[in-house]
Amino acid sequence: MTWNGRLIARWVLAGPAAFVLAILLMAATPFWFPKGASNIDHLVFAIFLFPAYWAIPFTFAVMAEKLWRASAIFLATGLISVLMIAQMFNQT
Amino acid sequence: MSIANKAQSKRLLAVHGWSAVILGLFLYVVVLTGSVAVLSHEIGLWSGGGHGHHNVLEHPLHDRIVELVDPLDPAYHEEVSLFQNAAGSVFLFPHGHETTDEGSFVEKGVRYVLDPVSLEILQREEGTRSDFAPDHRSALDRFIVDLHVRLHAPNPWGLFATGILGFVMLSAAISGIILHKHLIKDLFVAPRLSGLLLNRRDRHILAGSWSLPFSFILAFTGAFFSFAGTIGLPIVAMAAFGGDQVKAFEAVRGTPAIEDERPAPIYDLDAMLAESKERVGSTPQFLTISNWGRADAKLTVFHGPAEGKIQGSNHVYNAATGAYEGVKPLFGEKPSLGSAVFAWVGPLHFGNFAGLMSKAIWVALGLATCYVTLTGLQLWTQRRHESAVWRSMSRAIPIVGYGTPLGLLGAAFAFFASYPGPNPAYWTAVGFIAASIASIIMGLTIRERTQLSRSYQGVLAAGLVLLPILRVTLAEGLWWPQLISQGSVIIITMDLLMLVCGLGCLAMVLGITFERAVAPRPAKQPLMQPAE
Repeated sequence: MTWNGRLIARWVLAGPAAFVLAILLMAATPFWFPKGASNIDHLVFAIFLFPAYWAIPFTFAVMAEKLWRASAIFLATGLISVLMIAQMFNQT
Repeated sequence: MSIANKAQSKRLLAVHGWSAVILGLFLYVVVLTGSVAVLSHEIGLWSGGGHGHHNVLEHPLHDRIVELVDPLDPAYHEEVSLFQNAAGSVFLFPHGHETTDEGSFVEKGVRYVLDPVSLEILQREEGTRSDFAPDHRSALDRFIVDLHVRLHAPNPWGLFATGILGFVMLSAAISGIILHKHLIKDLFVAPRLSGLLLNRRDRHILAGSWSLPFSFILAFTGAFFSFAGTIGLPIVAMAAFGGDQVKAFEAVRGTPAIEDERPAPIYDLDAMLAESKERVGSTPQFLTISNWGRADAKLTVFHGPAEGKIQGSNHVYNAATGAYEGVKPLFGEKPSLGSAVFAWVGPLHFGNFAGLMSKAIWVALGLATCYVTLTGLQLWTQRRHESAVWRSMSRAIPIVGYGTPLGLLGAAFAFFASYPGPNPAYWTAVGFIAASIASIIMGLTIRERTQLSRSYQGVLAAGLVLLPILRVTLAEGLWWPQLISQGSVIIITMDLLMLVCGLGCLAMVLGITFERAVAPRPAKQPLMQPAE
């Protein structure tokens, strides 16, 4: 990949891709996070962790040496999140 | 030792610098107004002139509340809230929870603004929260808070904008943490005097190192507050509740396990409030009553932190029988990790966990963050001084840097000049815009940088010193002897704060700095005698 191509790919990963992934991670959190004593922890932490859900993929995309590996991790994490969200939709 | 290699450090530095260059001045406005908004309660009390001293929740109100709420549409009996702001206005808001056609969660009902002493109706409006006219008494503190929270842009765009600025600050804090090779050493760096650029860089690093953890906390909690309602709740509601935001809200808030729709009168509110005050040891701050007029009605009384405590607490009563039911967590019906964590988000963002002491620290660290933002921009533009674009950018730094506090000063002047007239909220905004435009004109007409800074500092000094006088003369505020007899120490403290800040600006105009003031004077040289 050319230098410009790598730069654009990194911008896409750290910009829109990290934001979309953060939203998917937040939406999927109620599926796997423990509900807690009051049955609300999975909802509260989904929203509370949103800034972290953005910051981690963003920093990872900026620092990644191998962009294809970062893209694959983004894609896999996003797909798993989509599956969790679909499962929740089926339950409601 | 940095955890990033050379290439990674270069990329992080590019993110750190470019994000600040593109959005740094907006970030500065949000952080500066946030630092001022830490004192929003005190500003409300101060700008209200000391008339908000009468705490409505410590005086009889039961009969009046029943008289106003009972005849309303039963849909508005779902929840009744009562709150008194710092300026003294009392808001009674019986309402129901609805989802709009666009899918947003809203509270719809009748909002009364009541006189704190007589409980007479000053204003009555029906609709959702966004429909209501701003409160006249608290126009100044509301203006500052709204500027910080959503830059006065319409919802949800303003919250999106401040949320994205929160992310920018978060990325700057994270990249700052990773890039710092000697974080501990940098906490104690002595700014070098061998060159202006080096000196500025050292000062930037020094202020940045001390405010790094604080910036991270503020950015994280601020982004959370901006996105929680605009993106968080709708997304979580969509994923976990099929898009029903009311259901999601009620799940998080916690609903009583047993419903009893039989009609029942509300028990004596005054008695329950008195009992709550005695039980907790602090004055109630606001109350909500759910299911008004039903056998399952609950009164929730929120108390600020009691003596020696960091957090406030909610106390629940059976509003039909008056029986105390216990402490209610912020979220849900039972104590949980989610509720405990969330209870810390507000205090950490607002700095109100240890009274005025923690607020003072938050203001100072907020101002340090403003300094870091501006000096970072200065360093960036000075390194690229040959380019005309960056020279133009460098002119914008003092204009925004001084223009924002001057805008706030203009807002305060306009508030006092228009209060207690018909629309101080409008004039407060006009004052801010007028002062901001005047600052921009000053910045564009005075070309010499030092003269421009001194002019800004002079206007700030005069304005700050005048504010306490305007508070008393124009806005019918109480003067110090009356405030002392009332025990209103906060208003006097705010007056003194304005005077000290004004004198500080005057000292800068006169070129008196702390370093010059404490520097030892050179020893007098013996007079040379002419050779005989």
